[in-house]
Amino acid sequence: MSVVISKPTPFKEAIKHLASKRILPNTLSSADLARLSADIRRASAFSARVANADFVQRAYDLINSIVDPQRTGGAPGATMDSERMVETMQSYLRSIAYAPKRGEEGSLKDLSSHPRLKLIADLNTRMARGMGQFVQGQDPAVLDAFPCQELFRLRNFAAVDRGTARDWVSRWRSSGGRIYDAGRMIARKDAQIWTEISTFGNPYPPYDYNSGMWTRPVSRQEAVDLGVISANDQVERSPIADASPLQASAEAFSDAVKKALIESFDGEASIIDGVLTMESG
Amino acid sequence: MSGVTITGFAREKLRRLTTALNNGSYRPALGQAGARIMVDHFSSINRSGAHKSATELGAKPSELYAEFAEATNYQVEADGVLLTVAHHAIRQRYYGGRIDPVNASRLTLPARAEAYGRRAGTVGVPLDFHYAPDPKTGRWRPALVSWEGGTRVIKDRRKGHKGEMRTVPDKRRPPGVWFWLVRHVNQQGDHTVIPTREQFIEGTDAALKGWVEKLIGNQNA
Repeated sequence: MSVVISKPTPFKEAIKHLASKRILPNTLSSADLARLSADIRRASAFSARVANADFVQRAYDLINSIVDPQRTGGAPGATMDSERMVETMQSYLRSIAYAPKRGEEGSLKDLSSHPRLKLIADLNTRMARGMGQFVQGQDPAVLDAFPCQELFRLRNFAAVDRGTARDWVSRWRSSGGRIYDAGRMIARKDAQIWTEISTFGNPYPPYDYNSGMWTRPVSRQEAVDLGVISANDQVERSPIADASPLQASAEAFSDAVKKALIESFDGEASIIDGVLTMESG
Repeated sequence: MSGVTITGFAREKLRRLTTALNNGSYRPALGQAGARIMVDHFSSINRSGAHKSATELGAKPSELYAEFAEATNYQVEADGVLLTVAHHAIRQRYYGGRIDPVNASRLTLPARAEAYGRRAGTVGVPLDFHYAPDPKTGRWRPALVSWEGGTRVIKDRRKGHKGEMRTVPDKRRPPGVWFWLVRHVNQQGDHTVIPTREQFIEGTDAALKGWVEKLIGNQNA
């Protein structure tokens, strides 16, 4: 293998995942949106209580440019990152005279706030990359060579130092996970635990808001040596890796998906003028 | 040297191995092995706390190398495997070079922890161009300064003001120098950003050992 630094190559699986999403304008809270099935959430581009489809479309276009740096052409100063996305979206919100509710300025409920826009940028960028790495890990030859993966801390060490980091070991254990080699959280790639530990119901990281945890593949030899699997164990490919985008027209969800959306809320929600809305307001 | 006769079991092992080599099914596995090495490398750098600017300012690190790890992937090509880091910043880190402002006359460098990782347009305080003394050198430098700092709106809990909101200074957006302004920056290249060839070779050998053993049927039950 030669180490050659050449021009960037697109992260195809991450880009494809973003391209498959359909805009979902809504008036729902994060808690309400969590009631949607993971399939629908994976296939949707949305932000809590954002009924403005143009906002969501612009945000996702910028996220696409972060995930695919070649999209901006590579000219100096043209690259997109989360801070530049925040600045661009704040400028757009000023142009439409957006104003947060009094008392919510600067908070996560303020769509123009730095914390809110940074969360949108970072979470969705990381989800696209997480999905991309997940799909790559599901190749049949890769499943043979790397049948397991490990949950490990990649970032947010400052939170650990402060003592404010989530207790992922407890979450792992309570979801049925086993610990190996004095502290390693490892499981087969087809284990249910990968969706169990996720707030979003995704078998790939990030597994929670502002989480610093990520996954890395564990080789067959290492997994056997640690006792996670036996030498000839076969790991099943996840159907999520092969999932085609939810049936959708170019502009909106299909009738079948709309029905599924409404059914998710037991009749409490409806789609009015293309916006998913809670009946209770 | 006389000819070599390969017995049945070895022929089968070789057949499996050569089949995998010929049909390219080894490539994704090789790609994943390489990606694992890259992720570990970036994770190690990120964890090491090598965040000079952030440390000097007392700021939260940007964790750029964590982003590199998350953007790492492999792409199978007709003649091999590409390992790629789909992130705009890695080339600059590896090669270094001069950075000039685009669409502006100066670059901004953070002067305080609150400005680290931020753009002048996103810090949420009005900034003015001014000259200010650099506390490290005492020399006056061009800077972006906030005279009043930022504010935030909170519930008024003072007696007689129940139910009202009031505006107070936001300690996270204080007055003072937020950014120093420079005409350009020269960044040193750093080839330790990516693993060495030797690290890749050693790592992929170890990672694929079990897979090859399974492929040719050498495992212990």
